Formats: sequence, C-alpha cells, structure tokens
Amino acid sequence: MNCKEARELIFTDYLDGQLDAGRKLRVDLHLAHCGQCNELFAGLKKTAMEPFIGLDKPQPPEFIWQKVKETIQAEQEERVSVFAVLWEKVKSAVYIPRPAFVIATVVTMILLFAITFSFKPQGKIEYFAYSTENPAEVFTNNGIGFGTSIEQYFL
Amino acid sequence: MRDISKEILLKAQEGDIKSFEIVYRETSGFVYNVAFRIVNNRQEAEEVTQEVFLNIYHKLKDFRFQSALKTWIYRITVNCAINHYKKMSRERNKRQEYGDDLNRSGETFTSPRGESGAEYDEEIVNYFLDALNPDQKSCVVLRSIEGLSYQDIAESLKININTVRSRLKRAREKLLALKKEVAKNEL
Repeated sequence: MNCKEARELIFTDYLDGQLDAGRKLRVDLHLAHCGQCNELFAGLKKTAMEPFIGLDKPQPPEFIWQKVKETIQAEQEERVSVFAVLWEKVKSAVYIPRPAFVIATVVTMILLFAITFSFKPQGKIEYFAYSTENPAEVFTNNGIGFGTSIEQYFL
Repeated sequence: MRDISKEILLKAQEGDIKSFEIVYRETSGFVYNVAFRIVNNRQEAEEVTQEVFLNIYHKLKDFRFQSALKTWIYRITVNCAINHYKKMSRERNKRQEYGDDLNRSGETFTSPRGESGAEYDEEIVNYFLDALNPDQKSCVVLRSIEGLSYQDIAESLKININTVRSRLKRAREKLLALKKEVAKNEL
C-alpha cells in the first residue's frame, strides 16, 4: 500500500474503525514504517476525533414538548371547527323549514299512494273473466279459428 | 433510544397524542443534539426540535416501516436543521451588509475561554463545526458525535456511501488546516 492509498483510508474508514480486518492490517503495516502517514493519523485523532468524544449531550428543555403538544391540539381543534363550519354551510345551503318539510313529505306520500293504487289492471281482469266464460270465442277468433294446424289438432 | 413498539407507532400514526409523546421522549434527545450541533445555537436548536416533531407528527402517516425509525428521524432533523441554518446565515449576511452585526467571518479562535477539558472541547468543536459547510457538518455530526456507521449516514442523508467518505475527508482536511491556524494564532 502506498501513501496515497493509505491517506485516503486514514482520513475516513481507518480513523472511524469502518475497515475490515484485512484492509486494516494493510494500513497498520503501512503506518508501521511511514512517519508522515503516522503523523497525519496522530493529528487527525487529536483534532477530528478526541474533541468529539464525550461531548455533553443535553436533553431538550421540557417546554419544547409542551409547545409541540399545544400546537398539535390547536391544529386538531381547528380541523374540527373547519368541519363544523363546512357542515353548517352545507346545512344552510339545503335548509328547508320543518313545517314545509312535513307538508312536502305528506304530499309526496299521498301522491305515491294514489299512483300505486289508481292504476288497477281493470281491463285485464275483465278480459280474463270473459275468456273463462266464453273460451270458444276467445280462443277460436269468434268461432272462426285461426286456421293453424296445431289449432286444428286441438280443436 | 429504546425500541418503540409497532403498536405505539401505529397509534401515533392515527394521531394519538399519548403514543406520540412516547415517540418524542425516546427520540428528542438525539434530535435536539443534532440540531444544536448543526445550528450551533441553543435557542435555534429548540426551534428546530419543535419544527422537527411537528413534521414527524404530520409525516408519520406516510412512514411505511421500510427504513428504521431512527434513520427516518435523523433525515428529517438534518434537513430541518440545515434549512434553518441557511435561513439564519442569509439573515446574518443581510445584517452584516447593513453593519448591524459582528463580522463573524473575521473572528479568529485564539485560546479557549473554558477552563476544564470538557469546556475546551465544547468550544473547539463549535468553532470547528462552524467552519464547515452544512453538508460536511451533518456528516461529521452524525459520525463523530452520534456514532452512526457510514451506511446509516448514507441512508439518513439519502446519499451514496462514497459521498459520505468524501464529505468526511474534506471536512477533516479543513479541521486540520484550522488546527494549524489556531496553533499559529496561539504562538
């Protein structure tokens, strides 16, 4: 391994312990006999590693959660009120006063009732009664018959 | 972060605030820390954290369990923090144009004011991170502070794993150059 290859790894994978055992060994061997690369590695450890180790990791202040929670709850309430406003608008757009609604319902029901029972099949019933009383006239075209062979067969 | 059960997540997806609070309690620590390291300001980090969790609440319905929840949250956090940082930078530049603000780019880091080692590290990390562009900064934060693997970083940022390597390399080259500058200023 030459210095260029070693330096690439020293700046990244080797310093961060991300190398596999084989490649790590190759860098170790290079460092064992290269003073310049050794100096670079020592400098990097001191500058880019050590100050970051053991840094204080403070917890966020409690008020952040309170603010997040309040914002979420305000959004939820706003969403509910938006739906409420929309519902009111829809209601007012199709609003029918109650007495008018009742009258309209009653009139509609009367009309439906009338339509349903006013169209009795009177003609059909009379025709049926007549045909059962005078089958010869009905089924033979006033006694003349229709002249078909199947009719001849049955008559 | 402990594992959050699928049942809790499904309830949170339906808008259940108690289940969502469990998600918040388990994840807000790393969200706040990543945001803080990217924007480098506590007040801004609080705003970013709040924004991130409102985003999570709204987008949770679309979470399909194909990626790890943590990776998904890291992605939202980094995007949100970078956007916030860019907005802040634009405002700061505007103020600088009118001479209302300190010229931060002209500031030099000489010696840390912190007395203990931890305070020194805190100051030097803030100074270093401030010198990086947002993309490099997010890679460094996820790797060196959060300890994510290259693969997890690539998935969180939706970038190629080799892009992760090249961003980390450039960031570290910059840190080395800055370190030399600091050492020179201290002499």
